[in-house]
Amino acid sequence: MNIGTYLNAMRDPAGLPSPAIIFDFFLVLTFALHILLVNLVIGSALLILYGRFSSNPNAKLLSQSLTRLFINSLSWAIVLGVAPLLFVQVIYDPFWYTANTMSAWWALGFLAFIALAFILAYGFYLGGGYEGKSTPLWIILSLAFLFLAGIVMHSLAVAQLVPEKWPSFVVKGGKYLSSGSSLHAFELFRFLHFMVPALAVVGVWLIFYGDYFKGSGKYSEEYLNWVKQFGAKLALYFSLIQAVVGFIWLITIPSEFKFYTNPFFILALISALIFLALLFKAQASPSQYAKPIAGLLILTVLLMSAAREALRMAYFAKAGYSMANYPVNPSYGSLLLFLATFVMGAIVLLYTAIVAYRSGKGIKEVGYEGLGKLSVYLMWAWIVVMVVIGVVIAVKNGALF
Amino acid sequence: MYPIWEVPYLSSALVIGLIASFHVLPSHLAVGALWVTVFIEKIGLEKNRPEYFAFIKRFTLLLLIFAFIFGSLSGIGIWYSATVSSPRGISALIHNYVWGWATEWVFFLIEIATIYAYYYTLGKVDPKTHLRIGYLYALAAWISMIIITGILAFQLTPGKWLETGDFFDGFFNPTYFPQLLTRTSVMFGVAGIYGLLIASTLKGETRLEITKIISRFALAGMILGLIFGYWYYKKLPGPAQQLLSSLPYMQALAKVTLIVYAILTLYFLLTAFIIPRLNNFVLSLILIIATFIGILSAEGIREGVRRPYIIFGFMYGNQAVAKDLPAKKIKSEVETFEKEGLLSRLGYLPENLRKITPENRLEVGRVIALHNCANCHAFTDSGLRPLPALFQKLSPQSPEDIDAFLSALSAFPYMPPFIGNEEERKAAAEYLFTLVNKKK
Repeated sequence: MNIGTYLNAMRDPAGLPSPAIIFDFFLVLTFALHILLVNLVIGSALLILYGRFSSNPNAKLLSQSLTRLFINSLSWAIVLGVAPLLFVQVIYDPFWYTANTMSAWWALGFLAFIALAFILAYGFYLGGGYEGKSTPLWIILSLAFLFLAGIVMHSLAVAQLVPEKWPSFVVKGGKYLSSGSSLHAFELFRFLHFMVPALAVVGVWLIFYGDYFKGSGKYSEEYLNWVKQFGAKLALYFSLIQAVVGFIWLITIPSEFKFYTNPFFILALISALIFLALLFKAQASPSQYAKPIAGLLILTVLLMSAAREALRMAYFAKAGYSMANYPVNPSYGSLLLFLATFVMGAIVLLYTAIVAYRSGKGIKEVGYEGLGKLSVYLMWAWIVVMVVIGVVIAVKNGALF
Repeated sequence: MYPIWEVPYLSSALVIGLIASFHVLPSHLAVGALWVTVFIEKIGLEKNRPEYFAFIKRFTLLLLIFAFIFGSLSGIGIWYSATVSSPRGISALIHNYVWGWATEWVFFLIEIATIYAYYYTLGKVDPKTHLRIGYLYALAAWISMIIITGILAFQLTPGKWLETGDFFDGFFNPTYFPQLLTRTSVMFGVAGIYGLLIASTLKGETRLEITKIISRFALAGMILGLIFGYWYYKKLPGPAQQLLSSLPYMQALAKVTLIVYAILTLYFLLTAFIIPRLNNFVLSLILIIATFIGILSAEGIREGVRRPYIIFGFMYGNQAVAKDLPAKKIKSEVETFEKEGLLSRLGYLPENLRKITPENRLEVGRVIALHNCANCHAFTDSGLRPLPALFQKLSPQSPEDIDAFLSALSAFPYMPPFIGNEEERKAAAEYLFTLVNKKK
């Protein structure tokens, strides 16, 4: 049995409930959002530390105010990570499950590290981090655990790309290693490519931060201008470093893939170059370019996520696997359930975002009554529809009584 | 088959069990909490009692820390532990219910957004908006329970799905509604005991008033939970009920569950109507620990009565498909393994370990034994259902005795059949015999 036969035999016997491409679309989309948030988490933690050790009073103040961003974005990074985690095991199950069981303790450790990082972050917050108190040691440790979690996830992802090496990972000296206590792969520049943008992403965030608090009376004009300039500088410098890291990663990719000719890669590259050009231009007056910068950042990350997916497909094709051949047993009803919920969720999230946004600006009477009421109605409608379907099906199947 | 993970002393299934049981506490808290809080906020607004908001602030912070660190991560933890313990089991669930989980994920997003908004905007936005945000959270959290219960109940009673393979037939299965209503009721008990812990840190009249409100909510939940719980029990399949009534450890778990349930209900009764003053920090903390033990036992029963299946009637604990499902073109695998052998499916192993030779016999036997047994049995001398001790009880004189036992495994109602061909079974028996000898 060659590895390709094994991989195809390990696909789930139930097949997919929808064509693979739908899962892949959501995988790429949600991974991009997840990695943006991961970058925001790491970037904000680094700036909290920077402010603590800097003599610049502006940096100190920024450090305080980023405490909440750190915690909140960590929650968002986790919950946004759930979706790609789900979709990857639908279309790439043979890879995902093998890599995880081979390093089982580490896979579980990944979550333990995040939990510890989260607890430490709260330790900092509850100790008065928002008021400039609390020891930075909390953040240093929290960040260390986040890096550890990142290394684990990276290693599991890279181990999936080399199925031909799996037999050598699980057997040493004729003995099968059942303990799941080793990690098996690591690529430095690939890993760095996911980490370095942290300060670029938080830099873009800071430009918006400066605009958001302008006129709220919470911070001085001078401070907010400094934040914006600082953000624009961070975004530029770390995007440049990212370009270098990306280039080195590119030349370490197996040449047989000719990855530099991949359309997604080329599009991502073009988008990244425009992003960089805009950042150069924006240094003098960041606010003026805030929206196009943010738009291009998101676009670039989305295209990079697509390019990363194309790269994964190239590795898997080499092993004789293609998600496109996965048998499909369609379940239209459940797909419809998700799509309808997704749209409904967007409306509820929009309302919540408006409330949070306006409240943060010091507006007490939020308004948007219609949208608020609609959100509640939609949630109830969801429940009613599900219960009706449920009762009808359960009665039909004789399952209710 | 995927590589198999061996967990000394515990077995890999118990790792899932421990994480899953822990998860019940923060998750049921997360689901029940804001129904109570929003109610208290409403009363506080109507009666103009701003001091109630101190409770809300503290309770929500506890929720943020406990439910959203440990709840969300232990939830993902169940998934991860299932990934490494029973990859084909979780794969079967995901390939049937991926859109269900994706739907639940949308509500996770709403939960995160609304809980932060609720916490940070207390007193900063108009009361109506704030209440609405709390209400949206409560709805989203409850819907996440509505969804996950379908998948949990499916594992125990897949119902019509075994014929049709249809998402909704499996989702709205025979134990779905009873389980959903039981969980919905009991979540008020879980939220109640946390609420009482926070209430015990308040002062004066407010403390007593809030204690009473919470306890009444919780008591109502516990009483309803009992009624729905009975319905749930009655809906369990015959073999599951039999396991519950015949296995001593199940009986013990049932007793613990009921005792904890009774104590908690009594406590709520006392603090709701008779002596609200009774509630204090230490007592409510002890009761939270007791609740944890009760839940651990109840979930232990739910997992235990499913034996020998991961998905009742469809997939065995050793991850082999037990039954044909023509609607999805799935074939039972037990016979295939018997004919073609298990090794032919272990493509993750190097070639030289996929054929039995005199030199590798014991090592290959170990791998075969791990695939068959390691999910539920420890291979160490002590621990959960440890194989060396269990086999020693049979006093086998030779590997053949163990082989005879393995070939008759399916005669035990809670054991799956051995998967593999005769040669592989013999190799496994030889390896297992060395475990018994080592123990001697």
